[in-house]
Amino acid sequence: MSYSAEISRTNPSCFLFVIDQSGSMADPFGGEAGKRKADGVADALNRLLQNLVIKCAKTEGVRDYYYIGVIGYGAQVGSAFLGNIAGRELVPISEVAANPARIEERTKKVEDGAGGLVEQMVKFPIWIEPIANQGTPMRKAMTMAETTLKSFVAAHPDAFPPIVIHITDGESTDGDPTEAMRNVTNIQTSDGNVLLFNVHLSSSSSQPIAYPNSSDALPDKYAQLLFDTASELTPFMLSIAREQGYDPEAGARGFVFNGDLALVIQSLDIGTRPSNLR
Amino acid sequence: MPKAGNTAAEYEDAFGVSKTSPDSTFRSVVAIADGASESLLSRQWAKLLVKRFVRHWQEPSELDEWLSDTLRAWQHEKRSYLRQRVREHKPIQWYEEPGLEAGAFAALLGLVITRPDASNESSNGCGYTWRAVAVGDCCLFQMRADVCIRSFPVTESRAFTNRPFLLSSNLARNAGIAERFQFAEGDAQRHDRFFLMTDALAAWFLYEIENGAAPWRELSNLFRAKNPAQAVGEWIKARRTAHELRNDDVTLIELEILD
Repeated sequence: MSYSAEISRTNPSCFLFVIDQSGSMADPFGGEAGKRKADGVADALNRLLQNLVIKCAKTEGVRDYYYIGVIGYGAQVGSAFLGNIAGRELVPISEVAANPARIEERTKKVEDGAGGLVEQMVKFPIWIEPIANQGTPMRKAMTMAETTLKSFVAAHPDAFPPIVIHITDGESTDGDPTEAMRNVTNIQTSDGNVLLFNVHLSSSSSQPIAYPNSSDALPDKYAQLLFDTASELTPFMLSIAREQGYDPEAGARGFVFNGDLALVIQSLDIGTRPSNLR
Repeated sequence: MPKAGNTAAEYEDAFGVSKTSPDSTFRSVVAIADGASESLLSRQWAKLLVKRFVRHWQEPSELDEWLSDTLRAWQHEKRSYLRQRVREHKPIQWYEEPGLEAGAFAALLGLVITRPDASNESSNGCGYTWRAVAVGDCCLFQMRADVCIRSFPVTESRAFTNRPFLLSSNLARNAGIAERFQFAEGDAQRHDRFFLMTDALAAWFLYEIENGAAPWRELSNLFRAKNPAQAVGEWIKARRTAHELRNDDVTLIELEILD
């Protein structure tokens, strides 16, 4: 059965985030004033990395259940990590844990135990900065993802298949990325093919489409491309989508169109919730 | 035995056995605990639970007192751990703080076997009674004349798919915990055997029974092997490889009433 390999330190898996850092990411989410898309995505990703590290933290340290990569594409294509791990493609999660570029203090509202809310200071490690600059070289980014994952799979042939979460708000400016995306999802371990999530961020206020199983309701060729290249959700991911209040049908894809920030966070959760961690 | 891929130091179960009382009133206490792998300090919490159970457990009516004493003992244990980290120049890292704050979690099973007056043997057996306490999914099985006559607190192998309610070292995470404690009791006769085991092995054990097998024979034979530790280790490895046993820490205690 595919997608059932145990994730352990001897058989780690991999999350690769591919993030659009083009100029249009400086715009706010469609229909929402204020927060820029680049800021929202960087916050969501930093928080996700923080949660992943905490999940792997044990009494004697952080266990390397995962390798993590973040490819940014905009003015340049390459690792988006900052600080000591800048420039590295895949980093064991214990090194991610030990090397945030900095740790900010942020406030969080928590229950005060008497029915009210109080603000509490919490640590917020930063690995990724929001960047919004120039074009959208999606094809080149996906080609880099392919190279990175091929070397991971060569070293870990029986791993739970790597999961790629691609977040973008625009169309590729360096040609059709379809083949490059297919090359990514054609990579496989003995436990199944690489899984690709395409998360499209809203530039308009139109209704988002989340985890469809057909492209019938999609508005254009571009949405069709992102749907076609996205992987089908595994049974475990389908169960998490249901937990989140969706009702995905059989064959639902890891695809979100015109998503808001809440949908980005939810899809990151669906894609990265550990199913079989040992 | 730790889960495959983990070292012995990463085994997060715990077990404890009391010394037999010196006077004629026989009382023997055993306990096992299974620390949750998602939480920090779960091994230490599991060890503390079995130690406190074996040494201090009295009656179900004194549960609240036992719990609050145990949580107080944990505060002491946690403070020494934090002091040790300072001494070792290994300060608590940002990624450890949420887990330390949330607390450790563990399943606990305790068994008390008594014979009120050892000099006054009753006619229906040898006058032993047992009482068991469980929170979570560690299991007790009682065997008599090659038949499993009692299974506690889980009675079906499929029940192990659910997330069990575990005992937390954090008072705030223990809301309604008293209602989660389960109690059982019964009598014990000469040559009755008791098995205490953590969830992965218990799931296998119940599954085998449901399919008409007698898994206690297999386990007893392992303990009677020339080198029991090696026999158990090899047997567990083979069951894991055959996907009959979930890869998890395994703890097993077998007791037999001899006279």
